[in-house]
This record gives sequence, structure tokens and C-alpha cells, in this order.
Amino acid sequence: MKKSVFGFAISFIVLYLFWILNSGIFEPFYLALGVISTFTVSYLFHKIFVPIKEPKLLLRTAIRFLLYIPWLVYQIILANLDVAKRVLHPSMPIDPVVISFQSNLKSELSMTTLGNSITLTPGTITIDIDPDGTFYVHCLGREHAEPFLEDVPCEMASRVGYIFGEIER
Amino acid sequence: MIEIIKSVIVVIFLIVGSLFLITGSLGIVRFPDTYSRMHASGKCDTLGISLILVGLIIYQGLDFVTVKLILILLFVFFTGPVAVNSIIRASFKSGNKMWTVKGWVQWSKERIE
Repeated sequence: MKKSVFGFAISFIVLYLFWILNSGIFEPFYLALGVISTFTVSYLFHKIFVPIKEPKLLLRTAIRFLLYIPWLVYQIILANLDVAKRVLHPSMPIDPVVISFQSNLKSELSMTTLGNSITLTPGTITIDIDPDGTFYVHCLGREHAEPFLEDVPCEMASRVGYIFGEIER
Repeated sequence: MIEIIKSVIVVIFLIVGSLFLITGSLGIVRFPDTYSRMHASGKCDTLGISLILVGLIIYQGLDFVTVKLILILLFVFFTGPVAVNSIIRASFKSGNKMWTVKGWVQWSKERIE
């Protein structure tokens, strides 16, 4: 009971801030409209919006996720320079290969995060994910496949697992 | 003076973003199969659109419009990979062949090294 109230409160606050930021009008009529609609939406959907029920865990996850983003942005810039170089190179030096590796992740949320991160980083795209945490990855060159095959779990999987408290570093 | 510097930074962001978008489009034409084409379109488009939006955010300054631009940036970052994944997965499920250096191969989950 208490946990669902917490999820409801978090989604209500976030959605109401979202409403204010998007409307930018501070007249009482519009603020009241915002309260009504955000109350309805967060009452109906707070179970989907806040999948983590423990307040402490949610804060920890949010902080670790924010710390993960700069590293990811750096990897994305590297990815783009690499792909752009391969596209513009006259001889087009690509050597595609498909690999599979075990990530040791358990929850759907962490596997989704890892899948998206893999798709955004250098020369790799997630093709499919098995429910037991096996990832199938298409790599544009053989050197892109190496970081995933070096150790189990690979660096990116352990970073994502650390965000959600599934793998200790 | 500050206005000029700001404009220069904004223009640099916009030009680099557009260059990445052009590179992505060129990659779609040049790469041999569906899988490697998605590498070009997925990554270059995400970074290109992000750079253009960052340029617009700098141009706009701190405003309610900036908040909306930041939200668009977040949505692009979360939805871009999902679209790429679904296209690649559909291509794999319908039995599309993959280009490798040795030739075209039909791969399945059991045949991976």
C-alpha cells in the first residue's frame, strides 16, 4: 500500500512539473486543469511510470544513471566519427560480423538500457535479446566485437548492471 | 561582441550536425545490406539531430522553449535506437541475408561463433 502511494506521488510530481514547463502559463484555471489531468494520469499509470518501488533504490538508480550519461555521450561521439570515416573512405573498410554474448543482466529495464546503449555506441547494433540475458549484436568491423568478447560481463554490461544494482563493481 | 561569438558557435553546431546527417544519408546509399545501412542511418542521424538541437538551445537562451527543445533531444535519444532495433529485428526475422567479406550469408542464432 505504502509503496504504491510513493510511486503515485513521484509520478504526480514529475508529471505536474512537466505540465508547468510545457504550458508556461501561471493562471489558476490552467494550473487547476493541470492538477486534474496529472492526477488522473498518474492514478491510472503510476505502476508503469515507476517500476522501482523502494525510494532509496530509486534515488540511487537515478544518480547512477545520470553519472552513466556522460560516458555514453563520449562513446556516441566516437561511434559517429568512426562510422562517418567508414562511410566517406573510398574503399569502405567494413567487415560485418554477428556475435552473441552473455550479459548476466536480469530485469527487462536493464536489458533495454543495455540494448539501446549498444545500438548507440561504435559500430554495434543489438539484433535480438533472449530472456536469459543473451545479446545478439551486429558489428560493423571485427575490432568493434572485441570489447564484448573479452570478459563476462563486458564493460558496458557491468556499467549498466551497476546502475540497477544487479552487478557489483 | 558576445552576440557575434554566440552566433558563430550556433552556426558551427548547425553545420556539423548537417554534415553528420549528410554522411548518414550517404552511408545508406553506399553500404551493401540492411544491417550495415542501419549503422549509418541510426548513429549519424541521432548525433546530427542532437547537434542541431544543441545549437538551437544555445541560440534560444534560457526559456520555456529551451525546455521543450531539451525534451525533444531526450525523446530522439530514447526512440532512435528503438526504431533501429525494430527494423533490424524485422529484417532478421524475415530471413534477410547478411553481407560479409566472404559473401552473402544466411545466419541464424545457432550458427554464431
